[in-house]
Amino acid sequence: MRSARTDDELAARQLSLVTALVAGGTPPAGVDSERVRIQALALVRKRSRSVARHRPELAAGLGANFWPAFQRYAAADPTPPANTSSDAKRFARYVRKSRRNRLIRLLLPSSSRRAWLVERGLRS
Amino acid sequence: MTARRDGLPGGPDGAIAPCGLGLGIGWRPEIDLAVPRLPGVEWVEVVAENVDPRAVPASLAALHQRGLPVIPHGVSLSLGGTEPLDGKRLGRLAGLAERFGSPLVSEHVAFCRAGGMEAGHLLPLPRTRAALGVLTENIRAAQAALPVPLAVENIAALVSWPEDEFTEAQFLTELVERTGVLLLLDVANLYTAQVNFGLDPIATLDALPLDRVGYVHVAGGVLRDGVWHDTHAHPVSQEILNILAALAERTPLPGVMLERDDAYPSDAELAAEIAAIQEVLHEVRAH
Repeated sequence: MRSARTDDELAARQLSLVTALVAGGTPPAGVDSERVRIQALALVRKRSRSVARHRPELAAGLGANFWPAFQRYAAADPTPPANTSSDAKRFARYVRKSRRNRLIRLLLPSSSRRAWLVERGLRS
Repeated sequence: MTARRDGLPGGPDGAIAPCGLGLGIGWRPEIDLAVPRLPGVEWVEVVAENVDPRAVPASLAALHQRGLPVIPHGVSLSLGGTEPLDGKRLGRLAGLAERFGSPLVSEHVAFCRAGGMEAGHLLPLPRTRAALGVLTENIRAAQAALPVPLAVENIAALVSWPEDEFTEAQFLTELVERTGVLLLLDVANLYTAQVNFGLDPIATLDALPLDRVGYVHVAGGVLRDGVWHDTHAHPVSQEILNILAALAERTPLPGVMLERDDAYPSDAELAAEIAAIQEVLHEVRAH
């Protein structure tokens, strides 16, 4: 009942949808791209809620900034990790890093910023 | 396909499918203390991926010890995936069914990964002959590995495929005929299909083999960006309860349960959600 050819076609269609949703790929031909965009956003929202449940203190600390921060984090690295706990860890790292970068921007004039970062191995 | 005296479906090969479950709720660690206090709750469903049969949380073990049936519900087997089923995930479902003496286990008509990449969500299959072939083979493999009957659920989708050859009802009916699988009918997902794709839920109900329904999911969602999101984080709306009523009018339902996965409300609100479902079922029975 199954043929290798139709299975391959099905596999390719499924892969193109998953790639569009989690790795910024082009939506599969004929599939409504606006719906794919909405679905991708829904996936990020679902991840953010799981992370918030997993690390409530992290979500509480960010308050209203939690969702925008999570969206930026997910946009920078769209492929979700295997589970919520590694997602939460990666997001926490992202938040720490953005906070540090913001502080550096605030505290150092742009002329010396680059040298300071290079010196500490934070930028090449 | 023999209807039993209690109105429950007979399983494949005359095997007996679930006993009358009644009203249930999705057991989650966040509401584990609320569940035993909810009036009217007679059974629970657990997400298989979140419960290790060798290390069952004490609150869940206590419910089971009190005699509440526990039904394992898988969310990551990817029955519609073209890759072979993952033995570990299948083993988890089987292990939980053994641990709890469950009358059945459930999964989805969906895929959730491709080419080694996880979508992190249940995605709709193109309803084609090729997908039917893949599903049939995977469902048979799952049935062979499970100690109890399997029920498969219609999912909530935001996207659809242009190559669809079947309606959802035709697709599910064909699956039931080929594999003898039971249906886990999600009325919120029928509503999702109505909002997102203009499908009439009543027409779907009328085209499905309702004598094969193992149990029913009810959940709330939200309209956002012009599409219905089945969030399990919002109260169950009247439209969804109406579909439940239409379903209950058509067939005796072995089990009906509320799914709540986020934005957990107070115990009182949760109890009110359960009561609303109960009322729909009572009203249908009274007529």
